[in-house]
Formats: sequence, C-alpha cells, structure tokens
Amino acid sequence: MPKRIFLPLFIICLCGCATLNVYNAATGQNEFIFINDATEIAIGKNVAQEVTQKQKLWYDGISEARIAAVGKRVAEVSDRTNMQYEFFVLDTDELNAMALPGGIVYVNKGLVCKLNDDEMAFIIGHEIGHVAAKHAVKKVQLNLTYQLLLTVAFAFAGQKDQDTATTIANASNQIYNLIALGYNRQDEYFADKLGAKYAYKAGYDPYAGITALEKIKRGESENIKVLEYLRTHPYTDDRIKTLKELIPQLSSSYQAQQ
Amino acid sequence: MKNKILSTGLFLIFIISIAISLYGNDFINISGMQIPLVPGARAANNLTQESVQGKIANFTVNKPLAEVVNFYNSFLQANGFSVIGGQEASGSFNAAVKKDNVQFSLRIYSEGGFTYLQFIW
Repeated sequence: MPKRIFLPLFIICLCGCATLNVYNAATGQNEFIFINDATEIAIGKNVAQEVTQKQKLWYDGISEARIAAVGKRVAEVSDRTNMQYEFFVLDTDELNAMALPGGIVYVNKGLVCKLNDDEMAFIIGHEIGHVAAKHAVKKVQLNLTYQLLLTVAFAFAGQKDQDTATTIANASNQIYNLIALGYNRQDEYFADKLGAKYAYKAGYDPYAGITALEKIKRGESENIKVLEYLRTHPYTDDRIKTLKELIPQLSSSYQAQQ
Repeated sequence: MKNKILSTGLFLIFIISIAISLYGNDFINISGMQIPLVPGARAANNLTQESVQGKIANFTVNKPLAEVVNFYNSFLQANGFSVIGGQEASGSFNAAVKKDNVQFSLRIYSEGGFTYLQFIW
C-alpha cells in the first residue's frame, strides 16, 4: 500500500475515536444525549398539555404551594439546577408521582395527603433525579423517531394546522405513555439514590424516604390505590432495603465533603 | 491477470472513497434541503454512535470551534430557520433547527484538537 494512504487513513481512524458524549453531573458519566435542554423543555411543555387534557390538576390553595416550596428547595440542590422546575398536584387518589422531560413534576393528591414534607422531599427528589439523570430523555430518544421528537419540540401554539396538531397530540401521547410506563430497575434505584441525596442536601430527613416507601407499601393493605405506583415504581421491598443501606453512607460521605 | 485487475479496481474504489470523504462535501442533503458544510469539512462516518431512530451525519474540520459556530449561526439567521437552543457555556453549539417542513439538530463541538459537526434528522 502506498505510504501516502497512511495519512488520510490515520485521520479517519482518529475521527473514529471521537465520541459525541456530554457530561452528566447526576450520573457522573459522559452520555450520548442529542436532545438539548431547550428542546427537552419544549417537548416537556407539549407533553404537559397532554397530561392536563387527561387528568385534572388539583388546587386547594395550600397543597400546590406546599409541593412547590418543597420542590424548589430540593431542585436548588440537585445536579441539574439550570432547569425551571414546575410542580403540580394531580387530582387523583392514586399514590404516584411523575416528572416530564424539562422538569415538570406532578405529584398525585393521594401522595400529598399521605406524606409529610420530609417524605415528600424524597419523592420529589426521586422525580427530580429522573430529570437530572435524563432518564426520560434517554428513553424517548431511544424509542421514538427523532423527527417525531423535533415535531413535538417545534409545536408552539397557534402554528399548527389540524393535521400537524393531530401528529403532535399523538406524539405527545406516545411520550407521555413511555414515561408513564416507568423506568427500569436500575433507573429507579438511581433516582432513589439521588432523591435521598437531594432531600438530605436540602435539609430534609433522608430516612423519610424509607417511611415514604413503607407508607406506599402499607397503602396496599389499606385498600388505597397503590397499583399505579407499584406498576410504575416496582420493587418497593428491594428499594426500601437498598435505601436503608445507602442513607448512612450518604450522610457520612456528604458530611465528609463539607 | 484477473486478480491484478480486481485488486487494482478495489484499490481505486478505496482511493476515490477516501478522496470523497476528504474533499467531496460542499453540502449535506437533509430531507431534500441543501445545508452548506463549512469549507474544509470532511466526512467522519466512524464516529461513535448509539441508537438513534433517525439519521446522523458527522464531519470534522480543521478550524476553530468559534469560527464554525459563527458560520452556522450566520447561515441559520440569514435563511430564516427557527432555532431551539444554540451556543452553550462550553462554547459548543447545540440546536434543533427548522425551516418549512425540514427539521434537524446541529451540534458543533471540539474534541481532541478537532472541531466536529453533527447533523441528526
């Protein structure tokens, strides 16, 4: 092979070594995320319209302010503080919570009534953990076509004809369903870890994460609607066990850092 | 003789493909729209890619990151693209762009002394 070939081959090989990864502070890893923050927020806002078409928001003048106050405190110490987190209460007794891409967090009325602020800080921290670790973004970018995601992102009110509106509604619905289906075991454990960490850093009792999960588990025997939570957040026993092991380490490691 | 012709043919194809990859791109065709490549951009198809339900085209260019970002900022503004995102604190550029029915993402970043361009659509 002529020697001159080596240079272009060498350049091509060099190019082959490059990666397109972006550092994620929550996971501590470089990750291949091609949906930027602004696009993620735009997608989240459109999916939020889908959520509020399906479920009623609950306003009693107190609960939403309480959730927003706890959420703001937790978000401020999270690994992704550049997002504008928004917190809403959904009018359903099911014990569940959910976060959309971009930082919109929903807590169901059932949980709001059942948990104290320390426990709520863990639940909201868990949901913010999903946002910080970009679990939803990774899930949708793997499962939906990129054109569909861009269509949702660019869907601003007033700019769409009937066909486009239908496409956007269907796409938003698909994204909502993907998120509502829940995450894998690894993602749930990781969000628990972040939830406990954020709650602790925000000045809440991290052990309340355990009591929050125990209350949800007990709700089952009290005939409260926990099926939804257990479907989207399975492995509760294992999660409680893991949290019991994690929290003492978390407290000591964070105190050592300070 | 037959083997010699075959190997010469393969060698020529190899050389031509390298030449195209190095010097052959002035535009990239995204869903029928011609998007200009910054002068000197070369295809870099062996970049690490994970699963994407779409198309990705990667290029590398021996120019400073800021110059390449300016090139595309000017192009997008001058041609009336809607843009979500843009230049980030790191200096990298990451935006979803749209004009008419054509939409794609453009990422520009530097790594290992090279400036990279990535189109996803």
